[in-house]
Amino acid sequence: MTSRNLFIYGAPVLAGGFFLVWYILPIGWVVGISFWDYSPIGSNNAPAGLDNFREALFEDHVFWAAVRNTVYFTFGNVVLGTILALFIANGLARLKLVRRFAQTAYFMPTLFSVVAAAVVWEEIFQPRFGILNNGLYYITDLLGLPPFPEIGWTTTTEWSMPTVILFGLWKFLGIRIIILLAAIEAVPRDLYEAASIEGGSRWQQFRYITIPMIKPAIWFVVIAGVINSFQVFEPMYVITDGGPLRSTISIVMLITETAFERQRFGYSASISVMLFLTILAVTAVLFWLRSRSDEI
Amino acid sequence: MDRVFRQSAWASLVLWAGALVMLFPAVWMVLSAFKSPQELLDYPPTFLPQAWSFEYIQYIWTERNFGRMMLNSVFVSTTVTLLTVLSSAYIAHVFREFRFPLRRPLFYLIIATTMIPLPVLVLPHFQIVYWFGWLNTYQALILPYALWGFGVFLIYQFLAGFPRDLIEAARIEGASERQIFQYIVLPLIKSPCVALGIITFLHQWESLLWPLIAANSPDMQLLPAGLAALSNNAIESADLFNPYSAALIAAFPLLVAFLIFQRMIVKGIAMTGIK
Repeated sequence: MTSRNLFIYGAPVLAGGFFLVWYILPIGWVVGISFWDYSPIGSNNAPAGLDNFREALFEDHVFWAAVRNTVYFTFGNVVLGTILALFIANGLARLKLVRRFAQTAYFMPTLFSVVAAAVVWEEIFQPRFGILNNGLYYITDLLGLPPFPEIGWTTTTEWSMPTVILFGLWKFLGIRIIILLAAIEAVPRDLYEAASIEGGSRWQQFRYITIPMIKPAIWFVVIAGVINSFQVFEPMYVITDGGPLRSTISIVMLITETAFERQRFGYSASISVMLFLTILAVTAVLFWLRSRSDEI
Repeated sequence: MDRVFRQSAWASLVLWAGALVMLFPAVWMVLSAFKSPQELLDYPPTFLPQAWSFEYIQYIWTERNFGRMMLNSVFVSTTVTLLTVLSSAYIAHVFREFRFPLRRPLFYLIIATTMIPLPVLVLPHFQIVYWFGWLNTYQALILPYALWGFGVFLIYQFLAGFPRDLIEAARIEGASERQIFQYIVLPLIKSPCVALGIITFLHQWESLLWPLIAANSPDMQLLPAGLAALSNNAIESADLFNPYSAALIAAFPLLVAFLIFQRMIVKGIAMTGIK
């Protein structure tokens, strides 16, 4: 074989081999063992038909807790995150005073290694000794206001999820702002000039020029946000470890826990398959909505 | 005019307040990393450390094995980034430049793999690595991520916009295909390669799920997994253990890189649209 052919055919062989070994066969294997009772170190491996799916859907309340939590996180993170990012990006684009520094502050969490950030978050939100409760208590005390209560951010079922969502908002705001800001800065300036000559207010400019012009970027932020949020793992793993009482366990957490702590690979695979199909379906619906919104 | 000015002053003020909130966790981490674990529990809380001490960072670095983990993380992230960028560029170039059997289906297959969520692949990847006896090895941490469908797609898109005259000219001059790739194509696609390299490195540096499963021996652990384990099994009795010091070590390299290369990193993220 000439070196030219080697160079040419090396690429498809490399790509084909890699994706076959690490993507295609694995995904087929996951689908396959989702119909089995299987563990790599177990001896009782046996076909299970649809039992894994039935157990997850109709018997396992932890599975449904994980689904609820993941959807809750996705909703909070995507809806609030996109709206916040939109307003901040719009504000930054118009900010005149030391914009560079404000921008750095908003982008910084994007580069803040997620586990390290979550550890810091866990400490800050720690109910008894964390700076959030303690700081607020200290300030209210100083000002003679009614004392700030000791909110169980990470230790009560009603606050654990909001705390994790707040972390997600903080950590993933920067990436959203970067994308939206780039889109806003690409909007032709004369559109705004024309609008302000016509007497359009800031809000009207935002609503009728900025939003329609950057719609593709907004859709991108929403769709990428949904896909990523459905796979959320690190924040709850570090901040609350899925607790208290499973109130922050996510689907990916459940998948790993089921496989590697309870050695139930088949069951874990069935949840993986459902997660994969759900993400595909939700993405398809979002793309459909996007194409519809273009027509209107 | 006055109303507009007041409006924008308020907006700036809100933005500035928001910026301070965004910065607070990082500032608090850096300050707290130098406090003693006892001081962290003090009331009223102190803002600046009573006495700046490197003792707690040093304790994490040496006694808690973070020095070794830092080495592992740097090595794995760098290797994955280099492999991803080089192989993506090479594959994208060949797919655009030459015609060969199965070219189209293979290309669509590569694009399709980007829709598979990575957490779904953790189970089979564990099985493969387990079969090969590769648990707690560098190849287990590196190989599954050595190539990335999105990377091929990104660079292919950039290449599609470039004229081919240069390549043709070089071929007439008798340059080999490898030389063409190395000396003509690679310099042309430098900016998408840098962007891809940045996001691959970011991804890899903070990746937790796979390293948690593939490498748990103290000497093979990566920083995020080691930090998560340390924080989840916090040893309250160890009177030198300060979680902020541990977090600072894990976060430090990228935060510093960000402050230096901010413009480039932001451009890279904006170009790829993902992180």
